[in-house]
Formats: sequence, C-alpha cells, structure tokens
Amino acid sequence: MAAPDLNGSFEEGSLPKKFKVNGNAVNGDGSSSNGGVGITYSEADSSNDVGSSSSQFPSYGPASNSQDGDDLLPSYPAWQLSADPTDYPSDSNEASTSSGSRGEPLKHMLDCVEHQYVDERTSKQMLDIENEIKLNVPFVAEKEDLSVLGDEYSDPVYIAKIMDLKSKYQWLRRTRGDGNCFYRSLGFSMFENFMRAGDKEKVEAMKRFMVECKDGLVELKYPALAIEDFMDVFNDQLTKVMETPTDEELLRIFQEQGSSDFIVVWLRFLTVLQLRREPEFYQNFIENHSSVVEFCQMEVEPMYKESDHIHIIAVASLLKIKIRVEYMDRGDSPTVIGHDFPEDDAVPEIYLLYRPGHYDILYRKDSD
Amino acid sequence: MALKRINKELQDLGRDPPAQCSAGPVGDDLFHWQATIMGPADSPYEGGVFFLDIVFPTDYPFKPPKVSFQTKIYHPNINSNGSICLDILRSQWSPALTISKVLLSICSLLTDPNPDDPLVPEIARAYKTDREKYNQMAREWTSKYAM
Repeated sequence: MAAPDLNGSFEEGSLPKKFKVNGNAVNGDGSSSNGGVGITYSEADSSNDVGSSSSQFPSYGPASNSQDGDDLLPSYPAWQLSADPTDYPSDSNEASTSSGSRGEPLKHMLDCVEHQYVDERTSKQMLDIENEIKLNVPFVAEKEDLSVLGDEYSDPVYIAKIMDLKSKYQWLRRTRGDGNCFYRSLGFSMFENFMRAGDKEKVEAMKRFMVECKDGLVELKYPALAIEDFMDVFNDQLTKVMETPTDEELLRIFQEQGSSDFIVVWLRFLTVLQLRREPEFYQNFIENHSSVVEFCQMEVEPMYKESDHIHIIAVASLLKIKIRVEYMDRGDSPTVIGHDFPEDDAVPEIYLLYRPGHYDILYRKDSD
Repeated sequence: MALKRINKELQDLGRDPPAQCSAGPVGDDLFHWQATIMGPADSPYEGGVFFLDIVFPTDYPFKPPKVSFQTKIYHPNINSNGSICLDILRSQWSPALTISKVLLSICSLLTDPNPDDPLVPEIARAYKTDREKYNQMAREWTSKYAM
C-alpha cells in the first residue's frame, strides 16, 4: 500500500511504518536489537515475565502480523473469544469464530508478548508521533489548487494522470492520513453540500434519518448510551453549520477533534448498519472474515481502520449519496480511473481522489 | 466528552449491572475505576473475587480503557502483572464497547481461556495437555489470592 513516489506527502501508506515493531528482535533480557524502525525497548524489565517467556524463543524476529496501511495502531492477530455470552453486538454464534490463521500457537503467544511491549514501552512514542502528525496535518485542510499535486511527483505516469485530473478538477482538499480519511472526507463533503445548498428541510430530514439509524443500531444490540453521543454530535454540528454557513465554521467542525472524530465514528456506525442490514449481499465482498458481523467488529468499528470498496458501497447506499472516486496509482492508463458508488447514471455529489492508501477531497472545475 | 460518556456508563451500571461484576470510581477521579469479577460458577475460579484496575484515557471512548487484574490469577491469557491479552482491549477496541461489555468479555475469558493465544505459555500448556493440573492450580491460586 505504501507509495514510495510520494515525497513529502502524508500518504497513509507512508505513515504506519513509524509505528510498526517489525524488524525488532526482542531479546530475553528485555533489551532489544532494533531493526531500524524507530522503536526501542530501552527500559530493561527483568521482573516482567513477558521478558522471561520470550527468552525461551530468542529467535523472535520480525513479526508478520502487521499490515500495510493500518495506521497509527499496530495490527494484532485476529482472535476473539471462543464463546462470547456478551452478545456483543449480537449473534454471538456468528461473531465468535476467529478469522486468523491459528496454526501456530507460538506466533500468537509472541504476538501477545509483543502487545505488552507495544503497550507498555511504546505508547508514549506512539503518542508523540500522533502529536507530531497532528501538528503537521490538520484533520481536514484548506482547499488548494490541484496543481500542488505536481510538486509531489516526478514520475511521468503520475504527471500524465495529474494533467488528466486537472482537466476535470480545480481544487484539492487534503485530509489527515490516519485511516479515517475516507469517513472524514465523506463527512466534510456532506456537510459542505448541505451548507452550500442551504436547504434546511433536507437537513432536518437527514437528522431525522440519523435518529432512525441510531434506533436501527440499537435493534442490532448496540448499546444506545455508547452510540447516541456520536449521532448527537453529528446532528448538532450539522445544525451549527446551517446556522453559521461559512467555510470557517465548516473547517472548525472538522478540524476540532471533539467534533471531527465523533462524526467519523458515526459514519463508521452508519456503514456497520448497512452491512448488517444486508449481510447476504455484503458477504460476497468479504475475504478473510467469517461473517459480516466479524468484519464490522474488526474492519469498520475500530478507529483508524481503512476503508475499501465495500465500506463505500455500504455507506453510499445507506445515505443515498452518489460518490465518485478518482483512482490515481502507477497503473499504465494515462488517465485517472473514476469509479462511481453506486454505479448509476446520476451525477455524483461527492468527488474523492484515491491514491494508494489515502482519500482526499476533489472539487470540480465548475464548483466554487 | 469522555467524562459525559463515563458518567453515562456509571449510571447504566447502577441501573443494570452485569451479572457477577461490579465497577465504579475509586475516588473522586472518574477516570480511575475499580471493578470486581466473581469467578464464574463453571470455572476453577468459582468462589473467588477478582479485583481489576480500570483507567480511562482522556480520549475515551476513541481509545480503549486500560484494564488489568489486581488479584493474582492462574490463567493462560493473564500474566503476573495482571495484563490481559484480549483483542477488544487493544486493536479491536470499538467506541461502541462499554466497561460492562468489557467485563462480561473478561468473565467469558475466565470460563473459556484461549490457550492458542497465550500470554503465559506454561499455563497454556497445562490447560491443553493436563487439564486436571490446570484446574487444580487455578483453584489453588483462587483460594490463596482471591478469597
């Protein structure tokens, strides 16, 4: 997923490397030999039985459980409780099967050991890196002329595609590459469209629909107290941007974590709702997970988990919003390739630029 | 916002406490709770009362709470520091999860350990190869530390 051509950009694909512990070999005495990825376990802790257990396996080397593009948080092996009576969120039988390869207990044990190190030794470093990203890249940035993309590439394949993109689009609005970029782009574009249209009745209808969606999630056994705050913030901020319809207000909503992340989580839960409503359909898109329920728990609900076609199809379908995604990668085509969700003849309302691992917002030439 | 959510959870626990569990703030700091779990009846932890420490991050519920055992327990997925190897407390945390759900998940981990994903390999080995020894050790530790 990494895009090595993108010098100086904040592509999601380029971020997670900093957080990974791949390549680190943890030695039995609690010291480490560092594979050069910037995480050291400098505090030796021989009292911790994690250290002593790993001493039996001194060859503990690069872990293979990380995935490209899994931002900010390192990935962990997929395992779940084998019998989960908590009915979280429901259908415990369906949800409880593990998807990961369970063939190698040693690896799982070591993964768990790695969790300890990641949690206890590197949480501060991860926080530092998160803070650094926060300082450098806002959740959603100011609009920029699309020509700024030209500064990021020297590859002729990309140069040609940027020319093609510039023939249709005028502006680019970057979003932070933290795994939430699709939802953040979607939320921002929705709010911006509502603000520009100024149709208060449509906004009220949307807010009522959000309440219905919350009720739908509660029917699926999601605790109301755990999800209602996200819906409330979404609706409240939508009200605010209609009362103060300015670019500054819109940016404030999406740049302040106290509103922006709540909107992201709410859009994640709307995605879950649609996936759970039509499991027979969405099951066909799912690989590596035994059920739609498990997919939602592992790939949709947690923050920082990236979005793929299935997420876009689901949320676009629930919200009845047409999204066009322009795909720009190193493929041979001299033009960017646009995909519409859903695939119909309607005019798209939201335009996104996809570069491997990351979504930004695009504005058409005819937009203001 | 974290405080608002933590307060809601506290009220909910008062109204509708999960079976065999309790939880609440240690003092005035609503971000620091203590919980108890009664050893499940169908497990070698039966009769024990296990104390857990819960610390909510300031950006809860976007990040998971830090939950650890204060009471020593003989379990393949809980080490001598009290750390718990449970996916929902790490990368699989969801903002829709609550302390109530977390405690119930830990209860079910006591009933059904995951020896294939162990934190303490010796205990996992005992669980898999000599269940009677595991049961006996778990019962001994329970009566020694949790009663």
